Amino acid sequence: MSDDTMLDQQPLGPVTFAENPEPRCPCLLLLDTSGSMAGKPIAELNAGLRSFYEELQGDSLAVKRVEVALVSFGPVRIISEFNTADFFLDPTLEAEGDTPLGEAIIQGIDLVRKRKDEYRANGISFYRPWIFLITDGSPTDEWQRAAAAVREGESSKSFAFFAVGVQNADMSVLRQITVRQPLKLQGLRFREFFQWLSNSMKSASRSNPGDRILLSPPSGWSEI
Amino acid sequence: MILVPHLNLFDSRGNLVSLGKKVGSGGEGDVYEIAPHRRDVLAKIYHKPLNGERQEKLRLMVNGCNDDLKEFAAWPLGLLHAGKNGPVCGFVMPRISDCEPIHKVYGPSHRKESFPNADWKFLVRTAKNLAAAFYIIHKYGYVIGDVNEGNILVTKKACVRLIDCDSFQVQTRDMIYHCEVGVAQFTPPELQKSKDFKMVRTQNHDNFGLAILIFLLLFMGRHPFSGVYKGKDDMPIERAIAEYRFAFGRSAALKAMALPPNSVGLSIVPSEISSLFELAFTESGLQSGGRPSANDWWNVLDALEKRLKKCPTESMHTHYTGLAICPWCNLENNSGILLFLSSDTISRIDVIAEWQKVLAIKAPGPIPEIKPRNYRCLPAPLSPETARALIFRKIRQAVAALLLIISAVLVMWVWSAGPGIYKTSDLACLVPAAIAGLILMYPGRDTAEKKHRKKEFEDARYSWRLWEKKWKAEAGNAEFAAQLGALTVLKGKYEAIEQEYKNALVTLQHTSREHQQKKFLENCFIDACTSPGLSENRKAALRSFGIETAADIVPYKIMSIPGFDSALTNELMNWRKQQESRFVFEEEKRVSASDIQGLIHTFQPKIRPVEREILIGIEKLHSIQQQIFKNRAKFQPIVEKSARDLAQAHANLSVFALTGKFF
Repeated sequence: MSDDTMLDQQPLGPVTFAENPEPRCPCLLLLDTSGSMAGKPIAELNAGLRSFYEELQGDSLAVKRVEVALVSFGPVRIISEFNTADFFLDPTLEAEGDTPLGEAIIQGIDLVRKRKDEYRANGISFYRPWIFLITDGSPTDEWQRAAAAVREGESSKSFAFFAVGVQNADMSVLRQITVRQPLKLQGLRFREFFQWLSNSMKSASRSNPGDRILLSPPSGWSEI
Repeated sequence: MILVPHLNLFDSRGNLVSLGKKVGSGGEGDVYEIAPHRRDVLAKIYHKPLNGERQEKLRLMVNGCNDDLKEFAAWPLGLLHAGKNGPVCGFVMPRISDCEPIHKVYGPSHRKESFPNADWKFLVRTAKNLAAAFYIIHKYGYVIGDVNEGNILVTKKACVRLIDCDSFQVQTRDMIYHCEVGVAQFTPPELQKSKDFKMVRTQNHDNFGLAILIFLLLFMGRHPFSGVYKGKDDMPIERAIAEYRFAFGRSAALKAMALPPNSVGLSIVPSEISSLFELAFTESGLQSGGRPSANDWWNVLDALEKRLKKCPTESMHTHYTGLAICPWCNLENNSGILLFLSSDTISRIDVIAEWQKVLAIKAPGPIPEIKPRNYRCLPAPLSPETARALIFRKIRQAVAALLLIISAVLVMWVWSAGPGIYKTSDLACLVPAAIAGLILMYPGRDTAEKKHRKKEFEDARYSWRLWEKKWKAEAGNAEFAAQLGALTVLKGKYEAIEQEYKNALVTLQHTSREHQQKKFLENCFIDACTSPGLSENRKAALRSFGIETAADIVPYKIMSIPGFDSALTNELMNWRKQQESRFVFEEEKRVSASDIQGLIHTFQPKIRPVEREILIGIEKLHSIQQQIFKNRAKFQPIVEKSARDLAQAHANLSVFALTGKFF
């Protein structure tokens, strides 16, 4: 509202929190947009992402509770900070660059930490954040520090970190990053993956998972 | 997935039941209309066969059904069997329609969309009706168990309806049929620790969920256990409940909790109500019957309803009479959010009047000019010794200059005599220059004074630069001008939204005219047309082509009908025009109040933040102006003194002939 004025800035956060004080269910997507994703994979990813948001928008409770942030890497870019699905700006990701997976994870974890601080400051309850890493390659930067940060976050229950490998992803690296079993996407079934994710988010936003992570079995998109 | 063959569905009397359209689907079963034409009931059919216990539970519920229950609950009215006298596979229940889940009532953002006319009175009434619903369920010995934001619905008239009743806990003398589900946000502390819901549920447990829902309704969707937690660790809602961290309660601080920003506290309700919340959300509610019952809630909410008043500035703000100021105005002004839509106008301010206030704020005008060069100062006199030393220095300087010239001439003479050949004796040319250097370095008595004056000058210049910066920043009119500019932009925005709203109103009226005319023409049947060329046969032909009224008469449609030439088409068009001329626009039916209200509700959320920024902006402009005048009065003497000091220091130093760009 007041970008072009000299008035005191009203940060969007607290205002939205007062209007919608429902508990939040944060979900961060770390999306590989390196050069190897060019063509059909990136198109499928974009379509899947769009349907993901549409699903969430169509659910009157999830639209108030689920908050999604998008970080793409190749190079690392914060496409969207945490927001409810009605704030979705269709980004149309483009494939470019290499795979700075480590940096993406570090920045993503930072984003989650900041959002949690905002929830705390505004008296908004929240569920344990979910981070989904989706990649089709192997990291081109130093990822060991990121892996340590993931392990640290998992053991302190700060978030739950899931990795999804696409096509030629280096699954052995993913196994070293996550404490959970990484999953392999069947072909380019991004849509099925996002359908599954939105269903999981919807049911998570209705229950109170606490320590439990209520994920339905990854059927329809995963190779396992 | 569906194991029950729908064609083979019977009621308990053995009558075949046929299902209509599927109207809903859930985790356990699907909901269907019952064919033919039973608008008042629906059938729920389970996906999987029910075990004996579940079947028995439904049978008990059907037997226990009465008028009180079925008035507001989707209570099982009759059983449905797979096959004649077969196992129970579903039930018939009252159809509940035109409702929204309760979370759309208590959450401000959804409420503005789904219940645009709901004020706090509506929320209090909903809370009271909710207590009434719980009262009746409890009166007949049932326990809801799974109290949540999705299975309680609210009508446009604030009436409460309960769905998913088949999950309620049913109890007989020697058997308890459990409710095995629950949602943590509404689950009491004593049940938070268990991993499932296989325990016996009590009315005291339900009363916790009831208190949470009433709180959500009265406090703009804030959960009583969501506050600002002072600890460093995560405080999920279920942990906060388990540890009795009631963020709005008396002992919140002891529990390291504080009110969330932009929320209202317990003081907005009478003490009878706040003490019920304290009972419900603290350890005292733990023992059996410790939490307020539905009846307790109904009584205090009914009393509150009789003690409500409207806010004088905003008709949509209703609050408890015991409050001196409207909590909603307060919260809306402080947070900038719109809690309630108002029904009459899009804006709460008169922008023209507000702009008069802006114009009434006198501009401070350009900053009074203060410059050191405007002060003419005479140098402070030197002591006689220093003055003499200064004269002596000037003589020495003249001598040194002369010696330097001699040196230079000698060097050039040696140079021109024999370039390239130098002798050691040639260095003698530099002797006068060396003497000049010594003369200049000789520390006269004036040096100390000069140093002193130079230091004074530098200090004065340093001090002046700081004061000048402060003066320009704090007494200048740049901030005022910027703020005025910002306000002008805001006014433009406000007027643009207002204009957009007016245009939308005009469009609404315009389309309503077209709409009325179309309706009118749709009632002018071609049977009534007495045009000579239009025989009964031709009318029949028109009808067979779908041309039944004047509204259908469009040239291209007529021309495409065989046997209708342009002459006949013209005749028909003329008839249509005759009918159009008979049309009278009904002013009073022009635009319905609800249409306008719809528009208002669309534009209100757009204009309200601008309105708020204008009000804040005007206040800010005024305070900036006051501050500028205050600063000018406060700083002027000291800034002037600093400028004068610098001018004096400069004059003092100038006697030593070191002039330059000092300021």
